[in-house]
Amino acid sequence: MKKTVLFVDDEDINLFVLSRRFEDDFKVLTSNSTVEAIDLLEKNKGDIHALITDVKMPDMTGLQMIAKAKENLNGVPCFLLTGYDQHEEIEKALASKTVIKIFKKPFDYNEISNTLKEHLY
Amino acid sequence: MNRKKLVEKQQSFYLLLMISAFGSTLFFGTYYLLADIPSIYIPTYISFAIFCIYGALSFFSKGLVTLFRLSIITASLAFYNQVWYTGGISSPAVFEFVIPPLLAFFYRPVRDRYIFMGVSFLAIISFWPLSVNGYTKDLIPANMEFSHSLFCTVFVFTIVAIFSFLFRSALVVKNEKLGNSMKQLRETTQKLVESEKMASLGVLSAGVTHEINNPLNFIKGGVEGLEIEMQKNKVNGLSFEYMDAIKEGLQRTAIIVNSLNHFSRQTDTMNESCDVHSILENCLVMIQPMIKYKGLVVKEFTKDCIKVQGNEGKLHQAFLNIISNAEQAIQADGEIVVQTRKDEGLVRVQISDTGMGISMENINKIRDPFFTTKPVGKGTGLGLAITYKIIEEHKGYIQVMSEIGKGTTFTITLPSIKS
Repeated sequence: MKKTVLFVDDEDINLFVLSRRFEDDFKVLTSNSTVEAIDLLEKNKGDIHALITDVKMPDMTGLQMIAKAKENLNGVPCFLLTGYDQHEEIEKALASKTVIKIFKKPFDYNEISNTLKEHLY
Repeated sequence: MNRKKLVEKQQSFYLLLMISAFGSTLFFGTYYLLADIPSIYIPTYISFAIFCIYGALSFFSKGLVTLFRLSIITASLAFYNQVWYTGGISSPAVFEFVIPPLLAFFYRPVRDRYIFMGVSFLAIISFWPLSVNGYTKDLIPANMEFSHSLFCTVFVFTIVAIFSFLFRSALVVKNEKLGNSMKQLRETTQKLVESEKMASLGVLSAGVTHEINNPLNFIKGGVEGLEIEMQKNKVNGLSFEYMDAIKEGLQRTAIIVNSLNHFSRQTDTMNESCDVHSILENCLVMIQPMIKYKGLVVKEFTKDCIKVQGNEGKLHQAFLNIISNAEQAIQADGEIVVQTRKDEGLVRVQISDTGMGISMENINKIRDPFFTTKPVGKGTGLGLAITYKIIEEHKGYIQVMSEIGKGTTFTITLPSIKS
């Protein structure tokens, strides 16, 4: 059975490309808002196997969203998509294992795919 | 002008004033002695004696202003006496009252000039009623009247000529200094504006690169997706060539954006692990558009991975400054060699160019803020000052070797991270 991955990004085109690229290997859920994503995580608690989120978004950052949804994310591997090269908060999140890996934009889709497979199967 | 210089200048003027005072009192004293007019020569010799006392005091006194004032008052009184006994308002000596305010131009405060101008004016005016009512006397014998007029006129002209010439040359020197300061100020302001522009550019490019990365991202995803679709639908080979062209363009854009990202990164942390080769590669990408028509870049990187601890953005800025200076030093057909090596816990980066070189005179000034040989608007003179500061912050140092017409080599040594 396909594992479920939730993509969060405020850019709809990004979400479209991501879902099209990964729909063959995973069941893809997308959300263009952090608030909606937190909701989705709560509703689908236990059914979402990985979270991939953008960092800079309007309501809150991807990292703040992860912190808010902490209870519903129990053990779910989280990944970040970012245009920034290095950032103190991201470094901290990586160090504390809150986030497993960051993918720098423009990202390598094969790398994302391989990493997800590695962690989910 | 500092106080010491001012005092020295006032001293030399006072010396001149004393010499003129001694000369004129002695001369006129003797002249009136020959004319046998005791009511003039006695006060004149007394003035000479008073001037001698002032002269002696000037060797001990630090405040020359009082002596200046006393000397001018003494001279004015001597003039007044001389005019009184040589015909009052019709005396040729009346013009001597031009001298006291002129002498007041050689010391401060400035208001003394106006005071003595007023006093002189009042003195001249006061002779009018006094002469008309017959209080003043003309004791000059008829046979000496011509020589008296001649000596008085020559005396006034000489003193006025000497002191106004001195005042004029002092003004010229001051004007020149003022002009230079104004020029310097204008240039410094220009440089500050330039550096401010560069700083804003850094902040701006940070935002812009992030924004460019987003669309780049979905172009890349879209292209890859299309490629997969094309493979599934067995589209012919020419389409794949177009795809390759798009992918090449994408990759190059991504590299440029990435290097801009390095440049504009603004954090203060000093504990990043910085890959020196990756930083240098990024700098070379940024310099490529400028160097490609006038020279070659040769990379001689060591095979070892070299890393230093510090701030990647700052190191990028430091290396970029040196490399872009190298590029700017080259006029045509030049070469920039970027060499790296690992050396017992140290990382050495050598950046050499075949450009115009730096003169011996300027090589010690290159790290001074605002020192530049580039025309106004082209260089801020801050690049190398910042570079030196950054390298020192990373506990490293810079060595420079240069030869005019042959080129310059910068060697940057940094402590490497122990692997």
